[in-house]
Amino acid sequence: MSKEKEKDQTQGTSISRRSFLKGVGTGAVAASVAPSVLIDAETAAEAQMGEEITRAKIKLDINDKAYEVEVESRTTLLSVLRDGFDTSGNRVDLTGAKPICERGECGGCTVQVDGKAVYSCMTLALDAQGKQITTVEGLADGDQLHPVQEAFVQHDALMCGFCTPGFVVAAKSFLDQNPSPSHEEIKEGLAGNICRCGTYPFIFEAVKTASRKMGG
Amino acid sequence: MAVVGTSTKRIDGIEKVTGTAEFTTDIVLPRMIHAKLKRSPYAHAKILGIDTSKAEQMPGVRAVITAADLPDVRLGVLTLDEHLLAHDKTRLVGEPVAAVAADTPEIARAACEQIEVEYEELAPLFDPEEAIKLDPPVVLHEEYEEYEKLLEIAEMDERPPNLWQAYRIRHGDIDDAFKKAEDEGGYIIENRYATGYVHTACMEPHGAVAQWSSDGSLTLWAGGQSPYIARDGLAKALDLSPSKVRVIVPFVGGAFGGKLTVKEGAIAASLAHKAGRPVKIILTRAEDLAATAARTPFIFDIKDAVTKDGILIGRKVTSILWGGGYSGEGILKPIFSTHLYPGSYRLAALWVDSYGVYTNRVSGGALRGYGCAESAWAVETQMDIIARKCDIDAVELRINNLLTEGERTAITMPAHAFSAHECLTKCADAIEWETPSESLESPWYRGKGIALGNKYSFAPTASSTELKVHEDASCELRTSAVDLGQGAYTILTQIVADEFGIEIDQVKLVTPDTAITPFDHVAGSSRQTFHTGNATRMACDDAKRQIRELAASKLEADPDDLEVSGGRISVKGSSKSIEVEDLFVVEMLAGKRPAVDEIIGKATWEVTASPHDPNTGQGEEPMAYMGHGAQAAEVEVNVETGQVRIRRFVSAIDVGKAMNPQGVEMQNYGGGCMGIGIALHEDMCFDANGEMTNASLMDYKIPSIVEMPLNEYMESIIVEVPHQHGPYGAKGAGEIVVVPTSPAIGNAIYDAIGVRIWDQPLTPEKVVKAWKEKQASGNGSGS
Ligand code: FES
Ligand code: FES
Repeated sequence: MSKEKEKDQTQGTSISRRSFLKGVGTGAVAASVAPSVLIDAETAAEAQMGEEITRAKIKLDINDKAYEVEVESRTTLLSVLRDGFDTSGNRVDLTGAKPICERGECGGCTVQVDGKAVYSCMTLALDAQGKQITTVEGLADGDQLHPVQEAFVQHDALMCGFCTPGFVVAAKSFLDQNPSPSHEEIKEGLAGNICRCGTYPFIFEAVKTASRKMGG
Repeated sequence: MAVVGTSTKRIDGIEKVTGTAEFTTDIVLPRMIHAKLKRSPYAHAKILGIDTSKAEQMPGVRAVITAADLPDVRLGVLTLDEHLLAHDKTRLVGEPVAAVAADTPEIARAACEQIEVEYEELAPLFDPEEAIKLDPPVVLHEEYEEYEKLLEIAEMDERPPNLWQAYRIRHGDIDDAFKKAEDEGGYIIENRYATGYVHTACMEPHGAVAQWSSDGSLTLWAGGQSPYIARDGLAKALDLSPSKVRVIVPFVGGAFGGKLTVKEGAIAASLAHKAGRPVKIILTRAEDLAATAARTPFIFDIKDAVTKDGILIGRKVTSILWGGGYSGEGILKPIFSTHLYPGSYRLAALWVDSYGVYTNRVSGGALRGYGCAESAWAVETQMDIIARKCDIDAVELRINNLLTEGERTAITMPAHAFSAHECLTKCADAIEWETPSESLESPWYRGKGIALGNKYSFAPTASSTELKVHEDASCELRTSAVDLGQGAYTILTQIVADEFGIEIDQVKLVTPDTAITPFDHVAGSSRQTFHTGNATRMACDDAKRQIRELAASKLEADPDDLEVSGGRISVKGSSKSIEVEDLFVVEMLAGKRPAVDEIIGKATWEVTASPHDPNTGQGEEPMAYMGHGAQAAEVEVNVETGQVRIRRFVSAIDVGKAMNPQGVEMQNYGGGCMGIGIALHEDMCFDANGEMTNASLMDYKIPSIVEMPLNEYMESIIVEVPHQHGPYGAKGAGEIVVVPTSPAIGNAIYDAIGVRIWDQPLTPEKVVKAWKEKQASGNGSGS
């Protein structure tokens, strides 16, 4: 797959993991390149990209702070956030977004890019240049939690908490776009995130409460 | 101020919603490098040679290891049958054969591909019924007899060579029961059931970070269920003294039984040793799903003897647990699954033969409900069938067969705090059991189903805690109990706050770290609230005793006449009091110090058990306690597409005392959610070579918010029948919540469309097939 093509497809990131994957077809690619599921997706991605790995210095605006980072064309936004260094050698160190599947199937790595929820594992760092990136770390205002975070705590809409940062950002982004959603709309809006602990019923409650608090 | 019993916000909620909670994968150490595993592509093969030279020469590679670099010890839970890295043979696809540590995960992965392993493929064995034969086509463990075993299995004339577990129950006269049923116009009902392959699929994949100190001691960070099981496992695998190993448990992103041992951690530790650097290993999602232990299938053959009035008088069961390449954490499942054969029912005769066998598939592990969730599928479907056969209402039939408080089950467990009746009736009321489901327009049908369940919590077991009291009267609880999301940290905090009459935020929890926190067995078997809760209460008592003794002379009173609450020590029935702070003295340059010793309460809560005889299943009190729960579902079935929608779901569980009602409710919903996934669609699939074909979250489908019934159709009922030994009467809630789910849903499908599906999951294809067969034969395929 050429770089251009991959870029196009990644930009289509929507928060429904099903429709998203239809576009990218990660599963199919992995299967056709490698006979074994135990060779992970990145290998497949590398195989497609061949030799054309280039490096570039880019500027990213994350939680209203400017970062200059050096990335490869294939570097994902998630890996910049979690494992990246800026050009003066400081870690970006935003580990709130979680790598759960790293192929657009779970929403654990959800961040906002220009107000839209995206899977940061499927977003190339290059494509986030010049855009406003908000991670879970950027939601609270000092000690003052964002209403969505507050509502998650109040309703106990979390158990182990591993999916929670992704859910919080997805819920916030959803409410930004649909301030007073119906039940069915909440379901649809959060269908791109999964939680093994099964906290969904309390997530519903949290989203409803947050919607009220945010004036929806 | 009662904190226990009041809904309390999770003490770690803010860290979790702000992204600051640190999980294993978030840990970064200076000079840390990354590990990847080279895994076997074959289900069964001899390893003839491994050439790591190319990998070792790659730039950025710091260490490569194979079995030759490790102590030659076999590991396991109770049958020690597994090497950390495959030794001479590989017995499942995905078994690790070598490992690499390199500067980046990408280099490590590329280096793994450069490792050349020469295999001689052997015929694989996948069918458990072939595996259990006395002359099976393939033997997985030729050296089985030499393995160290910590558990006796039932005596047999000759052990089938692939068998690793055999357990029998011999209670009452089973032949007489069948004869009686036949002679007296009763019924003999015989069916075969099966469960599927299910994975814990924790959102946090398995992983660890290992670091050595210059004194030869090892520190491992791993989000597991038991720091002490991990510590001892590491020590054994690496041939170290346990005191040289320190295990720290960061936040854990779900476990559900899947994080009992730390195999990857031991490999990372070995690499870290060789490389002289800290090593992090995090499995990919595909590895996590395809190559870590799963809930492997059971096959159950059940034959019941029932009187014409619907009284169960005898039950005979043969079951096989379809184990994988190694016995692993599944080792006790053939035993624990038998708890549900009597379940909550009185059974004059029970005859069970339960086996576990090796096959060349993924090894069997634990998953919420440990065998009980599986056998409940068979038993509670069977109860529905019996009810219909006898033409008795399914709730009434169950009630007629229930034990009563004080009786013993057919496996000698005392029926104490016996709440089956209450759970069942409350659940039935909530789903309006008496009112049949409305009819829908074809092709949709509606129906209701109900099921009971139990979960025994194992024994022998122990928990220790320490409680330090500070000069500002705040308390610090040191515990090795792990919060996996079930809310253990919050509950333990509540207990301390309650016992000392202080606020929640005056309690600090020192979380599991074997260098600091005392022994706790494991966050498993629904044991944390019960056992660690007891230990915590006792440690509080011990600390309060010390405080009373220290305060007695100051207050000129007898220690027994003193009361400790809210940071004050007061003389009962008088206004005399001092503050906890007064027990500390001022020290130059040091602020305050304890006047005598540190005030540290210590306690160990222990439950012993008399082991069951593996030949009869009889013993004294075999387990710590017995939990109860009932669930009911109303489903909508589309007979053309096979789609099953959960319209209503009710879960009524007995927790003895709801320590944190909101947390119990979450368990009820969360468990129900997992149970619905297991019942309807979760299914690990394998190809002809034994490799999992759906090892992604896209293809191994766990429930999303879309499949959950809307909130107004989900109901959580908390039943509180106190247990005499539970702290405040409490019992655990973590597992019982998934036990009755599958049979409740299966029974509801039968109610809706009159077909039985015998093997989980109840997928659309199976629904359509069963419906078509029923149409073709003109009647139901079940009862
Ligand atoms: S969607 Fe990015 S980690 Fe799963
Ligand atoms: S809270 Fe554990 S996965 Fe969602």
